[in-house]
Amino acid sequence: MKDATAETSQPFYLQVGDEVEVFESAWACRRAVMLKGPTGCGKTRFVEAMAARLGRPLITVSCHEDLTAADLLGRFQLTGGDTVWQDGPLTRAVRTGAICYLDEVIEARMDTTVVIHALTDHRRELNLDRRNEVLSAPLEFMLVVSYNPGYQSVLKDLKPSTRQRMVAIELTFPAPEIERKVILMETGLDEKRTEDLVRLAQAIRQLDMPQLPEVCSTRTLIAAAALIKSGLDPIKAVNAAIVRPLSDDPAVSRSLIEMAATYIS
Amino acid sequence: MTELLPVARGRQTGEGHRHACLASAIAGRNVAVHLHDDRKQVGYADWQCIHVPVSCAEIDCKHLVVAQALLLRSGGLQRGLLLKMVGRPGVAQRYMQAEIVRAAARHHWVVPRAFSEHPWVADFPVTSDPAASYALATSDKRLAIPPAFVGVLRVSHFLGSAMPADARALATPVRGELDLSATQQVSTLDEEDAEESLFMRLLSNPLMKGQGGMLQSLMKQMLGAGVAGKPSNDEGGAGGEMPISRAIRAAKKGLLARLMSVRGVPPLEHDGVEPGTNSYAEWDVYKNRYRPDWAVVEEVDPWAETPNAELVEALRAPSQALVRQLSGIGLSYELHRNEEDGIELIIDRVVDYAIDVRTRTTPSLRLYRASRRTKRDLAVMILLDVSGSTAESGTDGGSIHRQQSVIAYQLASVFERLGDQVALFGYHSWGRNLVRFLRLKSFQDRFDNSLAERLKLIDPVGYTRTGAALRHAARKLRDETRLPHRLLIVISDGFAYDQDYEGAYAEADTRKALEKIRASGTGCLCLSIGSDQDEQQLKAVFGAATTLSVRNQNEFLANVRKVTMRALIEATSRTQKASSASKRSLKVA
Repeated sequence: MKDATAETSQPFYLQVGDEVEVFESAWACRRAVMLKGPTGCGKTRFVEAMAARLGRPLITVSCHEDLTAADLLGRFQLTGGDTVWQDGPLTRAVRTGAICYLDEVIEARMDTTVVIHALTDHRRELNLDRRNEVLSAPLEFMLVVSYNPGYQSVLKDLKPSTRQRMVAIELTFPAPEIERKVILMETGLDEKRTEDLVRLAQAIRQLDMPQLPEVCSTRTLIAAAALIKSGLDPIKAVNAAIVRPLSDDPAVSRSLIEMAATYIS
Repeated sequence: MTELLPVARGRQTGEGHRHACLASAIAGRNVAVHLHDDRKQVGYADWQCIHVPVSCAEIDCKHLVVAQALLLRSGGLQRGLLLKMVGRPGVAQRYMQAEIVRAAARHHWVVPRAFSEHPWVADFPVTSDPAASYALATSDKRLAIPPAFVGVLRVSHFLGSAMPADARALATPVRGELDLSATQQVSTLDEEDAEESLFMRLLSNPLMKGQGGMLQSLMKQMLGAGVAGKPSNDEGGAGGEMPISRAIRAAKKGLLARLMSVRGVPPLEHDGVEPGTNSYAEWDVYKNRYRPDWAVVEEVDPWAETPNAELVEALRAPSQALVRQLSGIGLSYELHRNEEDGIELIIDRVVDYAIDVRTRTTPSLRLYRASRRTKRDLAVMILLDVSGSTAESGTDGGSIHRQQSVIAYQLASVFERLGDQVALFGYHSWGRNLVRFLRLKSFQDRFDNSLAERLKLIDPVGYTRTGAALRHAARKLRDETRLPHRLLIVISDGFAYDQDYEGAYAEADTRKALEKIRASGTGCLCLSIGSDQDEQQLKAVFGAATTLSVRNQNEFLANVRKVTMRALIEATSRTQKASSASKRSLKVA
């Protein structure tokens, strides 16, 4: 969990579709936003950029399978002979009018949805039943959740009642032109090498085989570009940052490495 | 050729060539790369595969794969156009070049820069669509001599078989449209086909073949026309004659599905057409593709005139040791109150604690709420091989079937007692049209004495078509339980064997089925009762880590937990791919 204040410099984000527009409208209308998209396509960066743009502090919570409603709301802790209430990140965001970002929200336990529901419909309130307190969310408060539809299992799917309370923004990997600019801006790698990386990524994203559960993300491209920029041999950099993380299957890895060598000159 | 060794290995497995990823990425669907050593050392492609001559230099080899994959991607391999090029190799070559360059321009973001910046590619005139490419090919415009790596277009390879479903999805948006003109042209082209009835020709329509090749072959089989491309039956062949009633039923179903698809309506769910029968695709390792709707699985209740006397005394409750081994598998979190340690304090208990401390009585330390992994979220499907070979006598004096039934019964009892959902089915087969699933206990059935009664009604006969059985079991497991942890246990005495289903073919199909099932999040493990040699084969297919011998009871007890956990972890670690993957691939499992 971290707080990013509005004073930090504007994070770099290049618009892929209409997501900035939709997000701003959602903020103005006080709607919660649900970000969908594959890993490494820029969901977190987008939220950071939007928080900076709207001038609100951002509180990010990375959800995991043991994250309960109490982790979000807060709990009593024993201090000496007393019990002391400690606000959780969501409560803090409501109190301060921040943007609260629940990353990979499907991972969290089911009881968190109860908390989210009251906060995302017309009530906009947070029930701290243990403190017998009801917080009303200020106008500036906004809830943003993200999830990766590719990871869905049967049970781990957002309930329709949760989904329909939110405005959905679907992020995908950026178009090649935009992805090229992103890599150029993030790493300052030269044009030709950047284009090679983007072409390789576009090609890998065409693959559809069970040994490849995920395709390479913009994040891995930036990692590869940074490694090349720092002086690592391009083919070694691509193998290390893009190919090897993709698959553990020896035959597929071998073929992907050959493929990378074809694209990277 | 500098790297002969890895290439040769890739060739053996059929799909592991080192350029397979490159070819598939550029073609936009799974395409294999094979080496050939024909007299003419040229590269060419067919629907499923790019054929590379062994003498090809490394850099040319890559370019050849890129060029031919682009040809497959281009959408220019339309039957109508290809037919016009039969017997005109010059036009075909010029057309192919135009289409490669057109695809390279259109999909330039997936093409390696080394290829798109090659002088021949850069200088070639770019056409707008296949018709323009054909016009260019038939014109007398001079074109630069292409480099050898471009390869050749062998029109017959594409006319000889129908466009595969995944290529069709990429190429033509309109499905189900009956392209009669092409069919008629084929018939005028092939004199020998002129004898065939219009009905047969309609059935062999390329647009329909992907789904209904089975119908055609069945009809031909029944009419005695013989089926091309089908592996010949050896005389020791498993199974016997084709059961006609089932064939007709399957044919009816195929026809219905076909008519639906002609009208542009999605085919009915199989369950909706014929209750109790399901058809599954089968992987053909020799052709490197699926045979759609190939194996028909039927669910029936076991029946025998007299119960199997051997089993009457054998089915006993499982040992405590086995229960202990299998507890604690497939658990989810559950909230517990009054724990000594946990995530949050229970205020009432804290108040009690404070009072106890002040009144100097011994306080209870159970102050917390905790979330612990105690909730059972596991569904188990046990598949019992009841083929004829299990009637042979096993290691403990009784038959293998007896040993297998005992272990299946005990496992089912343990999982049931631990609170998991359990189903137990037997399976055997007589050829691809009759894979039988014997219902011993479905997920909906209550666990009671009827399971033992039904087990006694099984007579081990027939053969083993493991792939179809696995696919059917996995589908039931997934659709009927919807639980996050799923386990498929196969109890078998040896390797798959059925009519036209043995050796490398059976092995590859089983492996393919397992691959898909594991990728969908279901753990698979195999309990082997057979000889060491059989066990080695099973291990090769199921993976050594998830195969366990049951012959030695102590060894079994010591390892069953480890193997089960591994099977589950292996499945859950493979995340499901985005739904687009399943949409494009053929219906499997």
